[in-house]
Amino acid sequence: MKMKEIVERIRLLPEAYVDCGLRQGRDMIQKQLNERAGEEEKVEFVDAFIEDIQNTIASLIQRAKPYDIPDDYISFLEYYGGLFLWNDKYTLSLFGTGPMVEEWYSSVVSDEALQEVGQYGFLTIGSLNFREQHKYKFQYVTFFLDLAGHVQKHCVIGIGPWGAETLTPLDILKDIHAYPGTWQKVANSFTEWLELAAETEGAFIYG
Amino acid sequence: MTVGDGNFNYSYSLYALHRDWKITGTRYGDGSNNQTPFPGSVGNLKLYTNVDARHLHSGSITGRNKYDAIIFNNPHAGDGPQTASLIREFRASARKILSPGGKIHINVTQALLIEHREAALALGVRDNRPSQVKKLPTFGPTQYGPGTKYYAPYIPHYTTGGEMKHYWGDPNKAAGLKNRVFP
Repeated sequence: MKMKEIVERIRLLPEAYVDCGLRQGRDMIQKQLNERAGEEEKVEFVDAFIEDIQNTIASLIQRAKPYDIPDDYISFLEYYGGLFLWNDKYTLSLFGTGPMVEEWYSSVVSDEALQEVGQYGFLTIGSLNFREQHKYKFQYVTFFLDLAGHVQKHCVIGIGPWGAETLTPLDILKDIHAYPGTWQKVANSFTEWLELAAETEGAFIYG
Repeated sequence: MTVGDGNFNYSYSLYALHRDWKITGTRYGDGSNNQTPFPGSVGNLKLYTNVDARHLHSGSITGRNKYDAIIFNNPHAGDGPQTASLIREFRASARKILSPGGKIHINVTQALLIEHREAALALGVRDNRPSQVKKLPTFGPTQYGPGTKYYAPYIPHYTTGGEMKHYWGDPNKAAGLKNRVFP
Protein backbone atom coordinates (compact mmCIF):
# COMPACT_ATOMS: atom_id res chain seq x y z
CA MET A 1 0.00 0.00 0.00
CA LYS A 2 1.31 3.46 -0.78
CA MET A 3 2.17 5.81 2.03
CA LYS A 4 -0.62 8.26 1.19
CA GLU A 5 -3.22 5.49 1.40
CA ILE A 6 -1.77 4.26 4.68
CA VAL A 7 -1.79 7.71 6.27
CA GLU A 8 -5.32 8.40 5.08
CA ARG A 9 -6.35 5.12 6.67
CA ILE A 10 -4.69 6.22 9.93
CA ARG A 11 -6.42 9.59 9.69
CA LEU A 12 -9.78 7.84 9.85
CA LEU A 13 -9.01 6.17 13.19
CA PRO A 14 -10.69 7.66 16.25
CA GLU A 15 -8.48 10.24 18.00
CA ALA A 16 -5.92 10.24 15.20
CA TYR A 17 -3.94 13.44 14.74
CA VAL A 18 -2.08 13.74 11.44
CA ASP A 19 0.00 16.87 10.92
CA CYS A 20 1.19 18.44 7.68
CA GLY A 21 4.62 18.96 6.19
CA LEU A 22 6.51 21.13 3.76
CA ARG A 23 5.24 19.39 0.66
CA GLN A 24 1.67 20.33 1.45
CA GLY A 25 2.58 23.95 0.89
CA ARG A 26 2.99 27.14 2.85
CA ASP A 27 -0.74 27.78 3.16
CA MET A 28 -1.34 24.45 4.90
CA ILE A 29 1.52 25.09 7.33
CA GLN A 30 0.17 28.57 8.05
CA LYS A 31 -3.32 27.19 8.58
CA GLN A 32 -2.05 24.60 11.04
CA LEU A 33 0.06 27.14 12.92
CA ASN A 34 -2.92 29.50 13.09
CA GLU A 35 -5.05 26.68 14.46
CA ARG A 36 -2.45 26.02 17.14
CA ALA A 37 -2.11 29.64 18.12
CA GLY A 38 -5.82 30.42 17.94
CA GLU A 39 -5.00 33.47 15.85
CA GLU A 40 -3.25 34.52 12.65
CA GLU A 41 0.46 33.82 12.97
CA LYS A 42 2.90 36.49 11.86
CA VAL A 43 4.29 36.01 8.37
CA GLU A 44 7.83 36.17 9.75
CA PHE A 45 7.15 33.34 12.19
CA VAL A 46 5.62 31.12 9.49
CA ASP A 47 8.57 31.73 7.17
CA ALA A 48 11.05 31.03 9.96
CA PHE A 49 9.14 27.90 10.97
CA ILE A 50 9.25 26.54 7.42
CA GLU A 51 12.96 27.25 7.20
CA ASP A 52 13.47 25.47 10.52
CA ILE A 53 11.65 22.37 9.25
CA GLN A 54 13.99 22.27 6.27
CA ASN A 55 17.02 22.74 8.52
CA THR A 56 15.87 20.10 10.99
CA ILE A 57 15.46 17.48 8.27
CA ALA A 58 18.78 18.43 6.67
CA SER A 59 20.46 18.29 10.06
CA LEU A 60 18.95 14.89 10.78
CA ILE A 61 20.31 13.54 7.47
CA GLN A 62 23.72 14.97 8.34
CA ARG A 63 23.71 13.57 11.88
CA ALA A 64 22.91 10.14 10.50
CA LYS A 65 26.14 10.07 8.45
CA PRO A 66 27.83 7.75 7.54
CA TYR A 67 24.42 6.07 7.26
CA ASP A 68 21.55 7.03 5.02
CA ILE A 69 18.03 7.64 6.23
CA PRO A 70 15.55 5.76 4.03
CA ASP A 71 13.62 7.87 1.53
CA ASP A 72 10.20 6.79 2.74
CA TYR A 73 10.86 8.17 6.23
CA ILE A 74 12.13 11.49 4.87
CA SER A 75 9.11 11.62 2.57
CA PHE A 76 6.82 11.13 5.53
CA LEU A 77 8.45 13.98 7.45
CA GLU A 78 8.32 16.23 4.39
CA TYR A 79 4.68 15.49 3.58
CA TYR A 80 3.07 14.86 6.96
CA GLY A 81 5.42 16.23 9.61
CA GLY A 82 4.34 13.79 12.34
CA LEU A 83 1.32 12.04 13.79
CA PHE A 84 -0.25 10.81 17.01
CA LEU A 85 -2.85 8.19 17.96
CA TRP A 86 -4.70 8.21 21.29
CA ASN A 87 -7.00 5.67 22.84
CA ASP A 88 -7.87 4.53 26.35
CA LYS A 89 -5.19 1.82 26.35
CA TYR A 90 -2.14 3.44 24.73
CA THR A 91 -0.81 6.32 22.67
CA LEU A 92 1.43 6.14 19.61
CA SER A 93 3.66 9.08 18.72
CA LEU A 94 5.49 9.33 15.42
CA PHE A 95 8.03 12.04 16.25
CA GLY A 96 8.28 14.79 13.73
CA THR A 97 8.84 18.32 12.52
CA GLY A 98 5.43 19.72 11.60
CA PRO A 99 3.41 22.69 12.90
CA MET A 100 2.00 20.64 15.77
CA VAL A 101 5.40 19.54 17.08
CA GLU A 102 5.51 19.43 20.90
CA GLU A 103 1.72 19.75 20.82
CA TRP A 104 0.65 16.41 19.32
CA TYR A 105 4.01 14.60 19.30
CA SER A 106 7.62 15.09 20.34
CA SER A 107 10.22 16.51 18.00
CA VAL A 108 12.71 14.27 16.18
CA VAL A 109 15.40 16.26 18.04
CA SER A 110 13.74 16.30 21.47
CA ASP A 111 14.82 14.60 24.71
CA GLU A 112 12.73 11.61 23.59
CA ALA A 113 15.07 10.89 20.67
CA LEU A 114 18.55 9.42 20.47
CA GLN A 115 20.95 12.25 19.67
CA GLU A 116 23.93 10.29 18.37
CA VAL A 117 22.28 8.88 15.26
CA GLY A 118 25.40 8.37 13.17
CA GLN A 119 27.41 7.06 16.08
CA TYR A 120 25.05 4.17 16.84
CA GLY A 121 23.31 3.73 13.50
CA PHE A 122 19.80 3.96 14.92
CA LEU A 123 17.21 6.68 14.42
CA THR A 124 14.37 7.15 16.92
CA ILE A 125 11.07 7.43 15.06
CA GLY A 126 8.50 7.22 17.83
CA SER A 127 7.11 5.62 20.93
CA LEU A 128 4.16 3.58 22.10
CA ASN A 129 3.13 4.46 25.66
CA PHE A 130 0.73 2.26 27.59
CA ARG A 131 -1.98 3.52 29.92
CA GLU A 132 -3.17 1.90 33.14
CA GLN A 133 -5.84 -0.22 31.42
CA HIS A 134 -3.24 -2.04 29.33
CA LYS A 135 -1.37 -5.17 30.49
CA TYR A 136 1.88 -3.15 30.10
CA LYS A 137 0.58 -0.43 32.42
CA PHE A 138 2.75 2.76 32.20
CA GLN A 139 5.48 0.93 30.25
CA TYR A 140 6.59 1.99 26.81
CA VAL A 141 8.21 0.86 23.57
CA THR A 142 10.63 3.07 21.63
CA PHE A 143 10.87 2.49 17.87
CA PHE A 144 14.11 2.84 15.96
CA LEU A 145 15.04 2.69 12.29
CA ASP A 146 18.08 0.44 11.91
CA LEU A 147 20.23 2.59 9.63
CA ALA A 148 23.42 0.58 10.03
CA GLY A 149 21.95 -2.88 9.54
CA HIS A 150 22.74 -4.11 13.04
CA VAL A 151 19.61 -6.27 12.76
CA GLN A 152 18.49 -5.65 9.15
CA LYS A 153 19.14 -2.50 7.19
CA HIS A 154 16.22 -0.05 7.38
CA CYS A 155 14.03 -2.34 9.45
CA VAL A 156 12.18 -0.95 12.46
CA ILE A 157 12.86 -2.41 15.88
CA GLY A 158 10.95 -1.82 19.08
CA ILE A 159 12.82 -1.73 22.40
CA GLY A 160 10.56 -2.62 25.30
CA PRO A 161 7.97 -2.76 26.68
CA TRP A 162 9.50 -1.63 29.92
CA GLY A 163 9.15 1.01 32.62
CA ALA A 164 11.68 2.98 34.62
CA GLU A 165 14.66 0.66 34.35
CA THR A 166 18.35 0.80 35.19
CA LEU A 167 19.06 0.12 31.51
CA THR A 168 18.13 2.72 28.93
CA PRO A 169 17.40 2.17 25.23
CA LEU A 170 20.87 3.58 24.52
CA ASP A 171 22.44 0.80 26.61
CA ILE A 172 20.60 -1.72 24.43
CA LEU A 173 21.49 -0.02 21.16
CA LYS A 174 25.20 0.04 21.96
CA ASP A 175 25.26 -3.76 21.90
CA ILE A 176 21.89 -4.89 20.69
CA HIS A 177 22.64 -8.57 20.31
CA ALA A 178 23.71 -8.76 23.97
CA TYR A 179 20.13 -8.03 25.05
CA PRO A 180 17.97 -10.36 22.97
CA GLY A 181 14.95 -10.28 25.26
CA THR A 182 14.59 -6.52 25.26
CA TRP A 183 13.79 -5.76 21.61
CA GLN A 184 11.99 -7.14 18.55
CA LYS A 185 12.04 -6.45 14.86
CA VAL A 186 8.62 -4.98 14.18
CA ALA A 187 8.76 -4.23 10.45
CA ASN A 188 11.10 -4.56 7.47
CA SER A 189 10.79 -0.89 6.57
CA PHE A 190 9.34 2.40 7.76
CA THR A 191 6.43 2.11 5.31
CA GLU A 192 5.68 -1.41 6.51
CA TRP A 193 5.79 -0.13 10.11
CA LEU A 194 3.33 2.63 9.21
CA GLU A 195 1.07 0.09 7.51
CA LEU A 196 1.15 -2.08 10.62
CA ALA A 197 0.26 0.98 12.69
CA ALA A 198 -2.81 1.47 10.51
CA GLU A 199 -3.80 -2.21 10.61
CA THR A 200 -3.38 -2.58 14.38
CA GLU A 201 -4.54 0.95 15.27
CA GLY A 202 -1.12 1.63 16.72
CA ALA A 203 -0.81 -1.49 18.89
CA PHE A 204 1.56 -3.44 16.58
CA ILE A 205 2.57 -6.74 18.19
CA TYR A 206 2.05 -5.44 21.71
CA GLY A 207 -1.67 -6.07 21.78
CA MET B 1 12.52 29.84 43.12
CA THR B 2 12.96 28.52 39.62
CA VAL B 3 14.08 24.92 39.21
CA GLY B 4 15.83 23.15 36.34
CA ASP B 5 16.48 26.41 34.49
CA GLY B 6 19.49 25.17 32.53
CA ASN B 7 20.64 28.42 30.95
CA PHE B 8 18.73 30.67 33.41
CA ASN B 9 16.85 32.31 30.52
CA TYR B 10 13.56 32.02 32.33
CA SER B 11 14.99 33.28 35.62
CA TYR B 12 16.47 36.36 33.97
CA SER B 13 13.25 37.07 32.08
CA LEU B 14 11.16 36.72 35.24
CA TYR B 15 13.53 39.00 37.13
CA ALA B 16 13.39 41.61 34.34
CA LEU B 17 9.62 41.81 34.88
CA HIS B 18 9.79 41.81 38.68
CA ARG B 19 12.90 43.57 39.98
CA ASP B 20 11.45 43.76 43.46
CA TRP B 21 11.03 39.99 43.76
CA LYS B 22 13.69 37.92 45.48
CA ILE B 23 14.28 35.13 43.01
CA THR B 24 16.45 32.08 43.52
CA GLY B 25 17.28 30.69 40.09
CA THR B 26 18.54 27.11 40.05
CA ARG B 27 19.62 24.44 37.60
CA TYR B 28 20.43 20.74 37.89
CA GLY B 29 24.12 20.97 37.01
CA ASP B 30 26.05 17.82 37.93
CA GLY B 31 23.24 16.31 39.99
CA SER B 32 25.24 16.43 43.23
CA ASN B 33 22.83 18.82 44.98
CA ASN B 34 25.83 20.54 46.59
CA GLN B 35 24.21 23.86 45.51
CA THR B 36 26.98 26.24 44.54
CA PRO B 37 26.63 29.87 43.44
CA PHE B 38 26.65 30.38 39.67
CA PRO B 39 28.15 33.48 38.01
CA GLY B 40 25.60 35.97 36.77
CA SER B 41 23.59 36.80 39.88
CA VAL B 42 22.26 40.36 39.77
CA GLY B 43 20.28 42.43 42.24
CA ASN B 44 17.57 40.29 43.81
CA LEU B 45 18.25 37.37 41.47
CA LYS B 46 20.60 34.79 42.94
CA LEU B 47 21.74 31.89 40.76
CA TYR B 48 22.83 28.43 41.87
CA THR B 49 23.89 25.31 40.06
CA ASN B 50 23.93 21.66 41.17
CA VAL B 51 20.43 21.86 42.62
CA ASP B 52 18.41 18.65 42.54
CA ALA B 53 14.68 19.29 42.19
CA ARG B 54 13.96 16.15 44.21
CA HIS B 55 15.92 17.31 47.25
CA LEU B 56 15.17 21.00 47.54
CA HIS B 57 14.07 20.73 51.14
CA SER B 58 17.42 19.29 52.22
CA GLY B 59 19.61 21.57 50.13
CA SER B 60 22.11 23.86 51.84
CA ILE B 61 20.70 26.88 49.96
CA THR B 62 17.20 25.92 48.89
CA GLY B 63 16.36 24.32 52.24
CA ARG B 64 17.10 27.49 54.19
CA ASN B 65 14.08 29.52 53.16
CA LYS B 66 10.38 29.30 52.42
CA TYR B 67 9.12 30.28 48.99
CA ASP B 68 5.89 31.84 47.75
CA ALA B 69 6.29 29.97 44.48
CA ILE B 70 8.51 27.22 43.12
CA ILE B 71 8.42 26.98 39.34
CA PHE B 72 9.68 24.04 37.26
CA ASN B 73 9.39 24.40 33.49
CA ASN B 74 9.49 21.31 31.28
CA PRO B 75 10.71 18.65 33.69
CA HIS B 76 12.05 15.68 31.77
CA ALA B 77 14.08 12.69 32.91
CA GLY B 78 14.63 10.61 29.78
CA ASP B 79 11.37 8.73 29.49
CA GLY B 80 7.76 8.80 30.65
CA PRO B 81 8.05 6.75 33.86
CA GLN B 82 11.20 8.55 35.01
CA THR B 83 9.68 11.93 34.23
CA ALA B 84 6.62 10.96 36.29
CA SER B 85 8.92 10.00 39.20
CA LEU B 86 10.79 13.28 38.88
CA ILE B 87 7.55 15.24 39.02
CA ARG B 88 6.24 13.34 42.05
CA GLU B 89 9.51 13.66 43.95
CA PHE B 90 9.85 17.33 43.06
CA ARG B 91 6.35 18.07 44.30
CA ALA B 92 6.97 16.19 47.55
CA SER B 93 10.19 18.09 48.20
CA ALA B 94 8.97 21.52 47.12
CA ARG B 95 5.89 21.24 49.30
CA LYS B 96 8.14 21.23 52.37
CA ILE B 97 9.64 24.64 51.61
CA LEU B 98 6.57 26.58 50.56
CA SER B 99 5.55 29.58 52.61
CA PRO B 100 1.92 29.62 53.85
CA GLY B 101 -0.27 29.92 50.78
CA GLY B 102 2.68 29.23 48.52
CA LYS B 103 2.26 27.27 45.30
CA ILE B 104 4.18 24.87 43.10
CA HIS B 105 3.96 25.63 39.37
CA ILE B 106 4.92 23.12 36.71
CA ASN B 107 4.69 24.17 33.06
CA VAL B 108 4.86 21.51 30.35
CA THR B 109 4.17 20.94 26.68
CA GLN B 110 0.87 19.45 25.60
CA ALA B 111 2.85 16.64 23.96
CA LEU B 112 4.21 15.52 27.33
CA LEU B 113 0.72 15.33 28.81
CA ILE B 114 -0.82 13.37 25.96
CA GLU B 115 2.13 11.05 25.27
CA HIS B 116 2.95 10.04 28.84
CA ARG B 117 -0.03 8.89 30.88
CA GLU B 118 1.90 8.40 34.13
CA ALA B 119 3.41 11.88 33.88
CA ALA B 120 -0.03 13.33 33.19
CA LEU B 121 -1.36 11.66 36.33
CA ALA B 122 1.61 12.98 38.34
CA LEU B 123 0.53 16.41 37.10
CA GLY B 124 -3.05 15.86 38.16
CA VAL B 125 -4.40 15.47 34.63
CA ARG B 126 -6.80 12.53 34.63
CA ASP B 127 -8.31 13.11 31.21
CA ASN B 128 -5.33 13.43 28.88
CA ARG B 129 -7.16 13.20 25.60
CA PRO B 130 -5.75 15.85 23.26
CA SER B 131 -9.16 17.49 22.95
CA GLN B 132 -9.22 18.05 26.73
CA VAL B 133 -5.57 18.83 27.34
CA LYS B 134 -5.67 21.70 24.86
CA LYS B 135 -8.25 23.43 27.07
CA LEU B 136 -6.05 23.35 30.19
CA PRO B 137 -4.85 26.69 31.52
CA THR B 138 -1.62 28.02 30.12
CA PHE B 139 1.55 29.49 31.53
CA GLY B 140 0.97 32.85 29.87
CA PRO B 141 -1.99 34.64 28.27
CA THR B 142 -3.51 32.61 25.43
CA GLN B 143 -6.96 31.69 24.11
CA TYR B 144 -7.13 29.25 27.03
CA GLY B 145 -6.79 31.77 29.82
CA PRO B 146 -5.02 34.81 31.28
CA GLY B 147 -1.91 32.91 32.36
CA THR B 148 -0.07 33.10 35.66
CA LYS B 149 1.78 35.86 37.48
CA TYR B 150 4.95 33.83 37.07
CA TYR B 151 4.86 33.91 33.30
CA ALA B 152 7.85 35.49 31.59
CA PRO B 153 8.71 35.13 27.90
CA TYR B 154 11.67 32.88 27.27
CA ILE B 155 12.79 30.17 24.88
CA PRO B 156 12.62 26.68 26.42
CA HIS B 157 15.45 24.25 25.72
CA TYR B 158 15.61 20.50 25.69
CA THR B 159 17.69 18.85 28.41
CA THR B 160 20.02 17.83 25.60
CA GLY B 161 20.59 21.53 24.83
CA GLY B 162 18.75 22.51 21.68
CA GLU B 163 15.96 25.10 21.57
CA MET B 164 12.55 23.52 21.85
CA LYS B 165 10.84 23.19 18.49
CA HIS B 166 7.99 25.61 17.81
CA TYR B 167 8.91 27.61 20.92
CA TRP B 168 12.29 28.78 19.61
CA GLY B 169 10.94 31.28 17.12
CA ASP B 170 9.44 33.71 19.63
CA PRO B 171 9.96 33.85 23.41
CA ASN B 172 6.27 34.67 23.79
CA LYS B 173 5.44 31.16 22.54
CA ALA B 174 6.29 29.88 26.03
CA ALA B 175 2.91 31.31 27.06
CA GLY B 176 1.36 28.24 25.44
CA LEU B 177 2.93 25.76 27.85
CA LYS B 178 0.32 24.09 30.00
CA ASN B 179 0.32 25.25 33.63
CA ARG B 180 -0.26 22.97 36.59
CA VAL B 181 -0.45 24.40 40.13
CA PHE B 182 -0.19 22.55 43.42
CA PRO B 183 -0.31 23.57 47.10
